[in-house]
Amino acid sequence: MNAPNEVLESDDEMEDAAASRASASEASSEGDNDNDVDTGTNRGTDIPRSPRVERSWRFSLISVFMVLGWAVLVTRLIQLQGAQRQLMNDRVTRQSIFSELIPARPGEILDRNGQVLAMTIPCDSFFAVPEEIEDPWGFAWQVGPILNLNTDELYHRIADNADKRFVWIQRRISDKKVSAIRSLNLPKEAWGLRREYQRQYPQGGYASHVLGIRNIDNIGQGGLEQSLHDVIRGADGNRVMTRDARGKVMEVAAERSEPPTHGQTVISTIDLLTQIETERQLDLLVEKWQPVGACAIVMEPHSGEILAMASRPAFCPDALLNVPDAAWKNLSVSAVFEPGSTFKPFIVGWAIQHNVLAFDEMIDCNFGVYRMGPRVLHDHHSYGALSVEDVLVKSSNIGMAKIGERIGLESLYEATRAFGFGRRTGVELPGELSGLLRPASKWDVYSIGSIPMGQELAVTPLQLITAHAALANGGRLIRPRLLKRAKSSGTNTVSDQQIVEPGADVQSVVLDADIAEWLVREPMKQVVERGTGKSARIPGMSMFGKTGTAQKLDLLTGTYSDTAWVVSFVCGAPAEHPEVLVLVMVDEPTAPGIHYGGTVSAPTASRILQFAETRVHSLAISRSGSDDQSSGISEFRR
Amino acid sequence: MLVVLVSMAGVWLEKQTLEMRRSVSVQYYQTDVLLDLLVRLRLETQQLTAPAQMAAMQDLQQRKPAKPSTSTQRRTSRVAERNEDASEALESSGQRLPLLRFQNPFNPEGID
Repeated sequence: MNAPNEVLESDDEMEDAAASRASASEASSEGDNDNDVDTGTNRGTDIPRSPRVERSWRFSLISVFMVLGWAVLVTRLIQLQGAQRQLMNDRVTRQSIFSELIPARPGEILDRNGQVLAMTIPCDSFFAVPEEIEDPWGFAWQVGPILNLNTDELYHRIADNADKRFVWIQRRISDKKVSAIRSLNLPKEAWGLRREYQRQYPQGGYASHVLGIRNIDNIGQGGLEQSLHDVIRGADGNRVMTRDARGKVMEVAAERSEPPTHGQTVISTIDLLTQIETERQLDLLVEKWQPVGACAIVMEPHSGEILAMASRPAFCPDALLNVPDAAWKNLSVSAVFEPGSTFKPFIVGWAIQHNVLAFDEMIDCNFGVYRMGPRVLHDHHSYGALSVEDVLVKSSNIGMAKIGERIGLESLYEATRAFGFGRRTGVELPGELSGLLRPASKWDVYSIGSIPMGQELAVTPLQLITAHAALANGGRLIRPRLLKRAKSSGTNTVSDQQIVEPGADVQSVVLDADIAEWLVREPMKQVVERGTGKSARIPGMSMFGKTGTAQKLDLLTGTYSDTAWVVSFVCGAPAEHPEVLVLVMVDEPTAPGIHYGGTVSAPTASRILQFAETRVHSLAISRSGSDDQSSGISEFRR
Repeated sequence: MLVVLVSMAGVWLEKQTLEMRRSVSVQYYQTDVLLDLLVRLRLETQQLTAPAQMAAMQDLQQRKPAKPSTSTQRRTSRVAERNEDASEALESSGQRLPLLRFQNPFNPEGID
């Protein structure tokens, strides 16, 4: 055993000494109970026991710290995994998982033969992240010329929104511009492209009032685009993706993503070729007569399907800048005018239906002058006794007033309501007006003479042709339709194949079939053969029609104008079994000439009718599967 | 040793799964791009075969029979102007859409 004060030279020696001390210590501890005196004698000089205590203390301290450290970690772990589990999950989700909108592709609008009237193509929209743009001026200087934007304005747009993370620069840009922007190699975090859809109208401006437009936010405005917006639009989806710490997409979480539901295809009743011909004829009419407005409707009278609908002035969906306000208005459903003589057949039919008039009766027309209470009525020509047929053929106001007297006010009101006037037809178009029909309680003695002549009430062109369809189809009032019921199995559409079904038709029998047939085959046919609508006659075609010439109200004087007229002509063919009806309404023709329905509207209506009649036969052929596009084109050209 | 082997196998499987998922994503992307192309071609077809367009072209051809049809088409077709960008993109991508090896016709450099 080494002496306590002996100097130890090396580590080995120190270890040996420590071991010796340890064994000595053990020995001494064993002998403690036996030899207390010795122990007490050495207490003052017990140097080897001091490091042992110190080490034990250090060991304990480290252990305590380690335990405390572990305890802190475990506690934190429990806190994170347990108490703050949801919070942490949310934070991780927010940082690593993100979703982007997948816009739904709006459905197509087709004509009855599958020709595309409106469809959608994808395109890119360019946006900037001003917060990430270090050099706004340089950015504007590079991007401006490519997008044809004013560089100064672009700079200000970016600089003024420097704290924002999203600013549209230009929407729906061409692929060429996209490529040019990509080639600039701008910082990726400073800009981006967002996929959007753009509506295209392959047929140009045809049927623009029927179709309407979709605005830059893809919302339908006007026409079928608006009324069927919910079904055409579809439902947007979203794509959920996971990204790493650098923001790079790792994977698409398919189970959490939701695919978009693309818009449904809408098959309209429009026949494109008939529509084109109708618009061409209407353009010629406008050019010749320079009216304030004009419209034309072609309808299949048995089903109420509208084959063509056109209005002037019009707009082209591809060029919407500087469109005059009047051009947005679809006169077919939103113009109200006094129908004039085109209203007379309804009253005659109603009178016969209610046994106050006979087919073969003669009516005294008082040679052109008839006093009706305080009012004196005049005819354009003086007639004596006219048959019921001739009252319509000659369009005698006095004859009609006398029929009105027989019917009476209440029944007259009932007749106008029965033929659908004073309420909307229910066609699938927005902005349809119900016309103007005062309640019967406000009618007076003048009304009994005015209503049978088509005055004191205002109707829309669509209401008028719908009512005439009731005459042409055997007395049934039907709802006009722009949505075709039948599915087009051979149509190749990009959007969903689910076809929108039209609503139920409103049908009511307003006249007996024999009365309706008589009106069409006799008086209205004679109107074209030898009456006011002679200018519409087509050699070899059995057609019927009725002219209408109504004075417009002069807002300054509150009386009927002597210079402003609304002229119309409704016709159909063949008279024996009408297959197609045409109405042409012209609002206030201004060109020099005689402004009657028979002179202004009738020629145009008959030309449209001639084409439509041929076309209807062609469509009938196409139903049996032997029609082709080229035949349609040749018809169109002819 | 066994643990290491199992871990490596797990990593390999995970990689394979990710690779397959990536392939599926690319397939979906290709579908989208092809659908877009279909839509553009359909639009072009509809514009070129629009009755009014064809009638106008026929009129022009009848008036100027000596002119080659391609130049007439070019003059009369608004469609060609509208879809100039798409056509150029197609041309720049090699004019044909590869069937076996996918290439985005609107982005010739590849999938972005």
